[in-house]
Amino acid sequence: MNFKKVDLLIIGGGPGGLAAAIKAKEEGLSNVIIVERSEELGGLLHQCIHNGFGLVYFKEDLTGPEYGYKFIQRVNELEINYLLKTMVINLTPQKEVLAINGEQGVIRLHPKAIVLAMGCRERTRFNIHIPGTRPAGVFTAGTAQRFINVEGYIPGKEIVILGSGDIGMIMARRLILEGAEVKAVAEVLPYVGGLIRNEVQCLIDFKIPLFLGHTVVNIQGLSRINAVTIAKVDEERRPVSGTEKKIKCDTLLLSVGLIPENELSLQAGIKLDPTTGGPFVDETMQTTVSGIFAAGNVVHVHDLVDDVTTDGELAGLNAAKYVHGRLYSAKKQITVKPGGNIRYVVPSRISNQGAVTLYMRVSHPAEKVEITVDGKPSRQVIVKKSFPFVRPSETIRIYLSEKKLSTLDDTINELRVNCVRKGEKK
Amino acid sequence: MRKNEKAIICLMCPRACHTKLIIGNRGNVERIVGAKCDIGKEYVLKEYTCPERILTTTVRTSKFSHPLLSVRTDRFVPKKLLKKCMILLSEVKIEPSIKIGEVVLYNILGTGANIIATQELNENKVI
Repeated sequence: MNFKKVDLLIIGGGPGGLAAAIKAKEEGLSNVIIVERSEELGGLLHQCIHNGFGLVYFKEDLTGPEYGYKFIQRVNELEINYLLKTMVINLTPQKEVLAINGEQGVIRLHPKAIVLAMGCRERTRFNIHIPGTRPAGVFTAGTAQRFINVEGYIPGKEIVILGSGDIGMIMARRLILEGAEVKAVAEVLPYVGGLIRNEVQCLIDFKIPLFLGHTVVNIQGLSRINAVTIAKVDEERRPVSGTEKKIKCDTLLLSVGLIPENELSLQAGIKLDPTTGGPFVDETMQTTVSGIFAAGNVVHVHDLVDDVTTDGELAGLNAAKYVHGRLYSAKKQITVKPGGNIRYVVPSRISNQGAVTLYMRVSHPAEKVEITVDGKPSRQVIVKKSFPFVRPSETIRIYLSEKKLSTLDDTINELRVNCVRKGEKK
Repeated sequence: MRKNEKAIICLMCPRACHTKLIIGNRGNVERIVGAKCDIGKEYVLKEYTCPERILTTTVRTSKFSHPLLSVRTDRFVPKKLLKKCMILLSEVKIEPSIKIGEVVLYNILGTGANIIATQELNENKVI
């Protein structure tokens, strides 16, 4: 492998990075290299042994390892280079890269383009400030998932789970099937955080008590956790005194959200969206630094791996175009901004050179709504789409066709996305 | 005699209808309320009479560096048998090599479902 002549460097060998590498290679880039810090390609898919993957992309119901296997096979078929157990530790705006591993020591690379595919990490006890002692037995749900599904250890026997995200609910089922007792799932919001399918098949199926509008207010135990106290919260998410309930347990799992992993992006001077925690990207997945693209959960946290794959392909395609000098850089870009009941929209800017899919999440659940995309300042309505319901846990896609975008008048420099009740004025 | 009701959430599409089954004296379903389509009605009826699931879990391997192999049933199995399947699978230990999709255990508990590998286990590495 010649590190001096890398066309495209992919940082991260999970689903986003694999898809980007495959697409770029298929587009004719000869020297593509994936740098992965763990021992194998595939990222988190190895530990996600449940099914539900690939329904959109492959029209098949696959488990995580099966989904990952298809892409790893393709990487090998295309003879794409990869370095395992190798970590990128520095990245500059000029795309100079410093990576390290145990065999080669320090590796310097200067690729023509980069795709960031570092994914995300879990929020911990200390991100959400749970009071109490600091005993063993408090894990993030993903860590417990790795222990149970890959390493072969069960983290405990009497479990309380905080957070009703998908990983938390899936771990509740997994622990019960492996013989543990799940005593409670507490969720600070008044509704379940993950997919309804998981609420039914992971919680209701196994009669696991679900406490909505509750949080953990105290962790007890010296060397090992022996109990938690949960309490109701008010609208401001403050615990309501008098509602405390002590639950004996030997393990607390946290499924309280994911944060895109962007330390390298910051080093490279890439601007991040404070809402998503990921880089601002345009419709080609290019960040605010020329030649550096991003894909998957490093941009925003996705519900489905299928969408991460699609993101990766888009980033790989455009990175290849960039290296070939065929990625047209628009003089004028239109910013895309979230309006009423829209938490965020990706991409955050478009250069109007073809169809674009906008990905967005709402701030709170609503029924019978319309999502509109309006041009500013002329208030031209570009798209209006009805939804019987919207939920923060489910990504909404709005497709802007090339034809629709070609009708934009020249004065438009911003698109505003709004979610309003049918018949209501913005 | 008073009629019973059973609430079931339909999972056939993201709409997730909250349906209600009106149950007659002999446990028969007399009426389904709240399902917005025929696919949904069929699903909730099945959920009431004999709910089925795909089981995904792991089995032990003899390989020190990769102590577990992920597996699943190749078709639906009755929900009430999931725990029994788990107990049976806790006794299974497999030797490398095994290919993805290969059967680890045939016809588990007479359900007609086979347990298949969802990972590869080679002498050298798991892909």
